[in-house]
Amino acid sequence: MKKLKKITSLLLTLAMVLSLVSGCTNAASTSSQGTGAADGKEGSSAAVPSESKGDPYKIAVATITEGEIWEVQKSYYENVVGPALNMEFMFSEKLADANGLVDFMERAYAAGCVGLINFVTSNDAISQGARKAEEWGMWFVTQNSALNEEVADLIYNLGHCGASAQGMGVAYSEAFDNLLSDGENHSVFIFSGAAVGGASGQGAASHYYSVEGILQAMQNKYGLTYEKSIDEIINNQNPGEVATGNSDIKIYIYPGLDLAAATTAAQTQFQTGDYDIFAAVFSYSAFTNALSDVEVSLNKNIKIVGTASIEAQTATGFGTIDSQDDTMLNAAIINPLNNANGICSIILYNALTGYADAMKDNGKAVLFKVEPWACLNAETYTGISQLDSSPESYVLNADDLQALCVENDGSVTFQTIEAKLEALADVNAIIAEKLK
Amino acid sequence: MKIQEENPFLKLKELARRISSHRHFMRLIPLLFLALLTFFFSVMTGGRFTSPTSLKIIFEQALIVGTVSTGAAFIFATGNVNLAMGATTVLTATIAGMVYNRTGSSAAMILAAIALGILIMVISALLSTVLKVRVMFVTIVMMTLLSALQQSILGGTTVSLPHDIITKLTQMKFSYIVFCLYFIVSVVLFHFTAIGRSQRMLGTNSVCAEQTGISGPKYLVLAFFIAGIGCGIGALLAIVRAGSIGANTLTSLNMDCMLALVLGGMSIFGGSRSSAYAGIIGAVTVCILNQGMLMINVDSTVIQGVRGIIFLILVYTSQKRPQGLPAPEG
Repeated sequence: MKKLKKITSLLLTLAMVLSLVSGCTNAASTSSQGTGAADGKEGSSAAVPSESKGDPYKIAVATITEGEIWEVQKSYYENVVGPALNMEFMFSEKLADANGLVDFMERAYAAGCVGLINFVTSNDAISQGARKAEEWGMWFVTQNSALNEEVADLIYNLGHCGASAQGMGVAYSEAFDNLLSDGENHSVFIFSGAAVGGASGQGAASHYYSVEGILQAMQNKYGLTYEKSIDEIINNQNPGEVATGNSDIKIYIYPGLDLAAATTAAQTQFQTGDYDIFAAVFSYSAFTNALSDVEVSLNKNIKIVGTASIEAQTATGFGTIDSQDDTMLNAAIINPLNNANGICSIILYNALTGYADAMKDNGKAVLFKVEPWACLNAETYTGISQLDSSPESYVLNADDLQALCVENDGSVTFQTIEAKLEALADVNAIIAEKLK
Repeated sequence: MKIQEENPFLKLKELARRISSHRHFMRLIPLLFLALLTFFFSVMTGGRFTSPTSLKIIFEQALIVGTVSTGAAFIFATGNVNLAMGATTVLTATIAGMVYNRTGSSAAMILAAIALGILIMVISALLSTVLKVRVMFVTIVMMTLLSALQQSILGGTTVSLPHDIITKLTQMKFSYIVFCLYFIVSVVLFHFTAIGRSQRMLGTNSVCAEQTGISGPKYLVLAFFIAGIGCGIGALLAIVRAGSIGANTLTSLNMDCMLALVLGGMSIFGGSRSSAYAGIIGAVTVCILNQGMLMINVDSTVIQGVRGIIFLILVYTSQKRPQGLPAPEG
């Protein structure tokens, strides 16, 4: 028994040493990969190898996600942004609140980071983080759809970049116009996420405008007369049916972020046979199994629309044929996450090279809006899925990033970046350009 | 026999055995490990790890867990586990923050935090002693109850304090002052008074302790009272640090405190090998690991794994195994 304990102890020690060594090697290989990409793989004339610019800028990235979505973004930072902008990234573990953000910022500061990309979007986290950054002289940029006015005037707060909330509404409206264009009557169950209070900054603005887009599309198509204003309907905290003034068209809204409860509610409502479209402005994937069961039991086609990103799960959704010979996912509003990642990095780079003022609007932090893409069928997604998969196909590749550096082009301002983001709204044009 | 005595390897082995069986050896392991880690990361980062800024950050990060777990040591020492330390601290912080927002008085906030921390903890202790239900079961219920209460108070919002008051308290070194005061008083009470001795005695063998006239319920309530002050101070430190309290604030505090105590060398059975400083040593160890690995560029996903392995080794080496008849202390 004693021997066994000794052996266990030795094995654990060995594992610890190996983990430490592999961790260090990992980091070393990451940076060497990065340089390699800048030197050759990217084949970019504009990309400047990091050695010629001296030590890389150390940037901290405070994330709130993990898994595939995060790995795709991490790879973009390490293999595209890093070599192109002479940056080295330090990633956090999954963070949840202001306290976690401040802890990570302190560690990053001690480790020599000069800038931070923050994904923790609660107002208190942004305020606290921006003030800490100001105290230390660390450049701070947040990925969020709404600007935190409280700290917008701080010198080191470079602003926010995130999915355009109104753009989400337009994309959902477009997706619904397409779904409803078959001349049939359709009824929809909407999982509205954090839409309650979204327009006033209490909830998620993108969720609010997404639901607004759906309700407006339904109203325009069927001439519905809602008993309450659309704003009142969205801000109702209780799940329930919306009075549409048309007994053939039903709308049910389930607010909140409780996926388990929402799935049960959706299954119950769909079992009545009244609904045939499911829309989730937050996460649709948790509902697919439950909805498939209903499809089989009722022998009825249920169409699914949801917010997604470029990842394997979305490909599976568009690639899976359900029991009714239709794709499992019928339309998706794609949030091009790497567009926001690229823009955040560019803003930081311009500030680090002495052009912070060009990234601000009269000294005030700017909200940069990334337009989402409405993907209405599997063919379009096939094109989208090939974006951000190789150095040439990245929507914002090394050349694009270099072109937005003020030190390369003195005319670049925050408005240039806004114009660039607007130009990235047309996904078909991007596919045609990048995958030609 | 003679050959054995002269064999230098055997002599060394005997020396190692004597050292390891010394009564202070187990207490020294966490400190030695702490020193070793600091040295390792300092070498790996070319001295940056031990810069004043870096060390200050480590200490500041360890303060909340260190404070709450220092209080928890009194409960641990009696051989009991409180699973509601985190929930108590967060609810206390929420209400104390609201008190400040209502009154605009930092004195009222401080008083409210400490009073509420004590109140919740003493209620837990009384529920256990009066109803004669084991502390662990009472605190599981309390944890759920307090979390639900905090959720219903907050709804989807957060309690945020004005930036001015946070800056003022930070500049006053409020966190350092209250932590030091609480820590010193706790160490004195725990190691140099009858209170600490009685609580450790209860953890070692409650039957023997009661037969020598030590009242279990009385010292349990006292342990919860002292831990309640720790929760109140921890809540204040959390407010000063983040400036706001929300539904996601300090969700892992309870586990962090238990981990810190064990890493700091506290016996999981309480008793004579308990110490009031185990919590802060463990909390600093965790912060050193986090910061050190980040500074030497260990991938964030690898950090979690390495941390887990190190914790396992530390817990294995610092916990004394039963060598005689079974007893609560082991």
